[in-house]
Parts: sequence; structure tokens; C-alpha cells
Amino acid sequence: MRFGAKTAIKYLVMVPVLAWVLFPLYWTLLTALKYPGDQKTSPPVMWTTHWRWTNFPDALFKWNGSAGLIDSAIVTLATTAISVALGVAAGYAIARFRVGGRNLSFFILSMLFMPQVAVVIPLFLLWRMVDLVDTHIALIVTYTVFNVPFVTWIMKGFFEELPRAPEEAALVLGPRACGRCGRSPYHRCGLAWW
Amino acid sequence: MNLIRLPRRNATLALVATLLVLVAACSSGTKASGNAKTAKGTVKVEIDAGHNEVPFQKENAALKKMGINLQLVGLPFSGQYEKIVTELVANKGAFDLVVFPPYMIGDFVAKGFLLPLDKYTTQVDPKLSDVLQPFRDPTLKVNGHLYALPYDGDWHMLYYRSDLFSDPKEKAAFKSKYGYDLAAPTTWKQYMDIAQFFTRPPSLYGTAFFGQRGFSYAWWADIWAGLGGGHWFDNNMNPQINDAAGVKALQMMTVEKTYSPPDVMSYGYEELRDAFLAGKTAMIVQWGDVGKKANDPSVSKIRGKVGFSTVPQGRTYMPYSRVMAVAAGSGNPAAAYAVAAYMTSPQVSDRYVADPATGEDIFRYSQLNPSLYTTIPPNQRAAYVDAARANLQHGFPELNIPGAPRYLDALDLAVNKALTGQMSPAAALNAAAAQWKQITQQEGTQQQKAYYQHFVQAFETAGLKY
Amino acid sequence: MGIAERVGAKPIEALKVRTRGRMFPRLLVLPAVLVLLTVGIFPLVYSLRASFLDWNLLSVAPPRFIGIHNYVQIFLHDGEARSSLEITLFFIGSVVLVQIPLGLLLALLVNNLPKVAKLIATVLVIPMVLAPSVVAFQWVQILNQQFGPLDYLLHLARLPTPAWLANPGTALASLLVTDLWEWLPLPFLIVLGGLQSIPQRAIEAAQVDGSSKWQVFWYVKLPMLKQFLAIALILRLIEAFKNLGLVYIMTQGGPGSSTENLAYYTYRAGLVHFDIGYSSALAMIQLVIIIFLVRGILRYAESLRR
Repeated sequence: MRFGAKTAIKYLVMVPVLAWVLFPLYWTLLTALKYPGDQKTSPPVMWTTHWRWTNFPDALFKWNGSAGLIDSAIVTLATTAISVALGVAAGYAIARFRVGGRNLSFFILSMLFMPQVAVVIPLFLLWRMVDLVDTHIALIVTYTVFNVPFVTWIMKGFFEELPRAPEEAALVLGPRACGRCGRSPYHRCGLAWW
Repeated sequence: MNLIRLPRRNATLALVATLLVLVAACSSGTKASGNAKTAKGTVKVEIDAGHNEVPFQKENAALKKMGINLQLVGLPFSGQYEKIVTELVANKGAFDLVVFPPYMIGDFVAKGFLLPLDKYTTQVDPKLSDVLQPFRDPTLKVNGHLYALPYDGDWHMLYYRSDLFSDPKEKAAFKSKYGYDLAAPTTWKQYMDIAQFFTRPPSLYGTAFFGQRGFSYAWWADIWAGLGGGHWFDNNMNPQINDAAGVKALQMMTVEKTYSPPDVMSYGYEELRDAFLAGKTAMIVQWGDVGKKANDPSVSKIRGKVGFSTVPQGRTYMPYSRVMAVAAGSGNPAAAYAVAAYMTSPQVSDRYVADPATGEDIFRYSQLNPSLYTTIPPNQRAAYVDAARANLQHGFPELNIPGAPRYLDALDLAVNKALTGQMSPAAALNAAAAQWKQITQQEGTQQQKAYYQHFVQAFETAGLKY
Repeated sequence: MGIAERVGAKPIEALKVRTRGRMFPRLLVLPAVLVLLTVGIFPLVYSLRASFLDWNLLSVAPPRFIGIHNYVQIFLHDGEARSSLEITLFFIGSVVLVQIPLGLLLALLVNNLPKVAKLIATVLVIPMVLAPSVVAFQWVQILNQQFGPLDYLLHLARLPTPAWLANPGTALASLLVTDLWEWLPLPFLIVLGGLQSIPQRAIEAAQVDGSSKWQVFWYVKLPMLKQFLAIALILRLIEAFKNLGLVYIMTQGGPGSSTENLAYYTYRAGLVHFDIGYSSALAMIQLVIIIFLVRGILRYAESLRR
């Protein structure tokens, strides 16, 4: 492997870029381990080994961070499952069969456009009407509305790149022929939607 | 043929999986619980999360013995207003007891969100005669009816560096430059002189203030009221914030900015407190709880060097505070009131007001007891309590008529704009006054007049100057 | 002849395949469209209707129909709305002029590095993965003039140490830099993916022809990248336009109104003043602007495909 001047310059440029990305993360991690006395000092404590590991269990249990994490986990898993299921199906249909033409795909994309503030109050009133305020379901459905367009759009792009021939052959020849002609589109896109 | 059926089988599996997840999610949703009208049972308390929850946490066991099961709903401090409003608008019994700053009380009462407490006071006496005047009628009553009990008293205090002020060299230099003795300022002119004198960048500045958007107006209000202003409206609901005193106060504040650290416009509650406790400013006007933290070695570099005094020129603005009220949609109002009366009673509140782990401050006469403040050095406790009493004796509570959050938001933006030089003080206050007129019209001028007259009346009833 | 005929299937069966094919894709799209129509359209219609009303959620007066009065007010009499749009233009400008070009440059840089370096480059993606509120909070601490590491390091290097969030100009710049830190990975990743899909033959052909490195880039790589740049641009543009979290946490629109973008102004109108009618009108205006922008970019991207 030749190590010419050009590659050397590339590596040199990467150094400040990596520093730019990593420094704020370093600072957050360090602050997470600091004692209160080391936190608001002037000049700031740039490095210390005086670590306070109890900050982490405190955050989770004393200040109840674990409840928030569990809520997030439930809502995220459910939202992802539903959004991907709906989005892959819709993306495939639009890419392969041009359902709805250009307008349907733009309509789906446009769900991303609404400013959050304008959405919050009507959605709140909607959930109030069906008595679902303050539940996980309300959050899941709300996030799904904004994630389905995202998934649909990205999957549409990927499905459009896939060659049509194996699919058409499989359609005619039946599933037994699938193994011969190539995998079904779902397998191909497996990595994509993962 | 088979291929078309295959995706459907997968789809069915997916559907079943989704339903299972949804069912799981359903069962963890929270709903309102209604109970019989007894003074026991579950009481859902809305409060801003953090150290203001601590008193409730500490009294949990005692309340359990009374048969009350507390459920704390902690809301984030910023955005608390809109969250309370949206929940109360939904009226699903999400809260029984609502803890909030009293400037919101006019809005809540006007929309019928709160229960009048007059009939409950016969069951448990909230001992209101022991509550300091500014925290009584002007804070707790709307249109003459009692709607809330006090939880946390907020008021401004002037803190200064007693070591700098008693240093003979400083005193001599000050006297020769300004012609009077260096001491805690009693007028705003003196305050500015002292601030100018101690501005020695980069290690020391004269003073600082809350420069962030949100409360910058409160520091202006101190000066405005001191210079003879302080009347939000006249008798015809014309806003008075842009009167001569108001404009002069804002001009003085722009000068005050030059005697403050260069990052003062980004100062919120914590930065302001930290600036003084780190020794960066010679004076500061801040909330009362700074005195309790002044001796904490992990935040203060000026232990033992803090002096307490009154906000200059005879008016002390009282931004924020917290009160407790019973939600109209509560399933258990009697129990909610019982909790409020218990938490606000002298024996309980005296404990948590002095406890530095909570965020609560003085609102009762009984809390003006120096021995309670164990985190303040013994020789300074009396001075702290005296300063608190003096400040509260000419305290000036926040506007609390309907629409108060809107009025104060418009005013705060104007103050902030003038401080950054975006607009001149006069132009900024005039623009805010125009907005105030609009808000009054939208709320209904006649209704506002009635509320405002009661507000002014409440000062007289409490024996305060308005 | 279609594949069905070529393979020898009978004409009737071929027809069955085609007609059944019409219903099946519609069934696939149906759940997504249903969800979007019920839950997604409702806020849109609600906001549209509200924008024609004089309606404050907290006032006792009931909502009143006032036609386009809110819009007239916004366009003709609301100086704050106008200045908030200017601030939003700064956010958009930062995306177009800084984030996308830098993402492109970074992708070009990383693309030709050996595999090991590429692994290290995955670290570059981390900022995008963090929660926006966490990023905002973290940067407030870093930018603190008294206790933060940035001004300390600048001081050591004998560089000026401004109070970043306290001055109107630097406050906005700080928000833009925080936004850059968080979202640079997005155009970087998209363009990197695009670079790796450029067929090697096209590049080699150009090189054989004697093109310089710059000409290879400008005439071969860049045209093939334009679609990917368009995707990155659309995604970032929508987010930058709607950005509320950064302003809310870092400056609350201050100092003064120097960082109050249209999204924050809409938030204040709707959730502080509870003037639902006015904030809905503001939201509708934003929606129209975004639709025009995205439609324009999509049209341009599509024209490149032909």
C-alpha cells in the first residue's frame, strides 16, 4: 500500500474533523463522571480521574431516568415495527406498480412538512376525543404518521433500483421457481430496511 | 397464485405482532381515577420536576398515614404553562392538585379550571393570617375569592460582597469619587454608582441581572417600581408600562448592562446565581434562595462574605412563586385540599422552606425565624431574615389577571430587545404597550377592568402599597 | 411480448396475473394511506380551518370567523413575523451553503481512504444519532463563557473568547454551528452512498480520455451525485425550516429576537399566547413555502433522470 503525499494530507484533514465530532462527546462523558465540585469551575476541569460512578445509577433511579427510557423503548419499538411494515408495503407498491402516480407519493412525503406547533394542539384534541391522552398508543400513532412517509420514500428509492426481471418471472412461474430465478424482492431488500 | 398468498401470510403475522404490541402499550396507559368524596384516597399532584418535588417526597410517609396516596406528576419547568393548560382544557381529571406560579391564576380561574376554596377553609384552617401580606390576597385571591394556598415564596433580594464593602481602601476610594459612604444602596442611582465603581474587567464586575428571555422583565420591574412606576394599567385599562418611569428604568438597565459581565444576556437563574457565588460580581439582585446556597463550598467561593439588603428605592418585585390549587375536574377535591392545607401549614412549611434540598422560600411570618436557616452561618442568620422581612414589607407581586402570561411575554421581549440594542427603550416599551392593548381587547376590556380592579383592591386589603 | 407470453403461459392466465396485480398493490398502500388520512390529515384540516378564525384557547369568547384577516395581519402588519422569516432564511442558507457542500467534501475525502480509515469514519455518524435536545443542552454547556471548555481553549490559543449565546450575531452563529455539528453526517452519508454507486467504468473512461482530476469530478462524478444531493437537500431543508428544539433550549429566541425563527414565533403565538387562529395561519404559510421548495427540488431532480 503506497503512502503518498495525497493520502497523508487526507489523513491530516481527518484529524481536525474527528476532533470536531469527538470533543463534545468527550466533554459530555467527562461531565457525566464529575463530582459537583469539579463541574462549574473557572477554569474548567478538562480532565480528571476523580470519577463519580454513582452519577449513572442516580440518573436512572434517583432522578427516575429509567422510567423515561422504558417509555421511549416501548414507543420506539412499536413505532418502528408499524412504520416499517406500512412503509415497505407502500414503497414497494408505489415503486413497482406506480399506484397513485406522482401525486400520491408527494402527498405521503408532505406529511413531513407540517410544522410541529400546528400539529400538536389538533392532535392533542383528537386524542382527548377518543380518551387516549397520556397513553403510549397516542405517541405511537403520532410518531408513525411522521415516520411512514420517511420509510416509504426511502424504500421507494431502493425498490426502484431493483431489477424487475426476477420478479416478473417469479410471478408467472410460481413460488417453486423462486429459488431458481433469484430471491423474492423482500429478501433483496432485507438489508435495506434493516 | 401461491406467491400472492405468501405475502398475505406474512402480513397476517405482522398484523398479529402489531396488535400484541398495541395491547401491551394499551395496558400501560394511564387514566384518570375518580374516588368517593372523602378526604382520603389518591391525590395526583402536578408540580414542576426537580427540587420543588422534594417537600412532597419527604412528606409522603406522613400523608400516607393520613390515608392519602400521593402521585406526583412532574412537568418540566419550561413549558409547564402550556402543559397544565392543555391538560385542564382536556378536563380528564389528570390532576387533583395543581402547583403553579400565581401569574397563571387569572387565566385558570377565568376558564373555570380551579375550585374556589372558601368552603374548604372551614374544614382545615390554612392559617392565612400568618402568611406574609404580599402572599395573601394579591397572590391567592381572584375577584375576592380564595383559589390557592401558598407553597413557595419568591422575592428579590439584594446581595452584596460584605468584604468589598467593608474594605477601608475601597471605602476611601468610593467616598472620594462619589462623595458619600459606600454601603448597600438605597436608591437606584447609588446602585449604578456602586456598580460602576466595582466594574474592573475581567475579574470583577459591578452587578449582573437575568438577561435571558423569560424573566428579564422582572429585573426591569424592580427599577420601574422604584422610580415611581409599578402600575400596570390605569383605570381605563390603558397600559402604563411605557410611562416615564418605565422608559427611564429601561435606560438605566442598558447602562447597568455595561457594568455587568459580557455574557450577562445569556444569564438564566443558574448562571446569575453562579456569577455572584463565584465572586465575579460585587452585587446582585436575585431570588431569596441564593442566601441559603451562599455557604455551600461546592458552588460558592465567597463563603462568609455575603451581605443581605433590600432592593433599592422601596419596591421589591416578586417574580414567580408557587401556589397550590384544586383542579375543578378533580375526582377527589376534599383530599386535594387536605394535602394543600397540610403542606402549607406552619409546622410543615417551616421545615422545607429552610431546607436547601428544596427550592422553596419564605412566605410565612413563622418562617422568619433565624434558627431555621442552618446552612447560613449563625452570625448572618438574623441579617438574612431581616432583609427578607424588609423586602417583603414592600413587596410587589406579579400581575395575575387573565392573560397575564401573554402580557408578561410581550413585555419581556420588549425589555430584552432594548437591552440588546435592537430597539430603543422608548420604542420597545411603546411596542409592548400596543401589544398589551391588543391583548386586553382580545380578552375583553370590560372583563379585564373588573379583574384588574380586584387585583389593585387586593393590595389594599393586604395592607400593601400598590 | 411480455415475459408471461415468452415463457409460454396461456393468454387467459397472463390476463389474470395482470388484473390481480392491480388490486394487490393498492392493498399494500392502503394501511399507510389510511393512517395518514385519519391522523395526518386531521391536523392539516384543523389548522387550515383555525387559520380563518379569531380563536384563543384561553379566552372565554368563542371562536369567530374572520376570513383572511389573520393572513393579512401576518403579511402587512407583523414585523416580528417578517424578521422571524429572515432568521429562518439563515437556517436554510446554512444548510444550502455549508452543510451540503461540507457533506459532499467530507464524503469525497472519506471515499478514497483505505478500509481501516473508513471504519474510523463511522464515528462521524454519531452526532446524528443523538437526541436533538441532548445536543442542544450539551452545546449550551460547551459555549458557556465562564465554565465551558471552548472559551477556555480559545483563551489558551490567544484567540478572542466571545460570549457566544449573549450577543445577537454570535448567538445565531452558535445555533447554526450546533445544527451543523448534529446534522453534517446526513448529507455525508447520503453522498457517500451515492459515490459508491458511481460505476468505476465511467471514471476510468474519463481518465483514459486524459481528463484531469478536477474534470473527472465536475463532469462525471458530480452529475451522478446530483440526485443524492437533492435527497439530502430536501431532508435537511424540511428539518431546518421547522427547527424548534435548538432555539427552545439554547436561546428561547434571544438575545432580543435575534434567534427567533418562524417555528419559534409560531410556537409562542400558539402555546404561550394560545392564539390558535394566528399560529395556524403562520403554520399554513410555512407549509406552502416548504411545498414550493420541495416541489421545485424534486422537479429538478427528476429532470436529471431523463
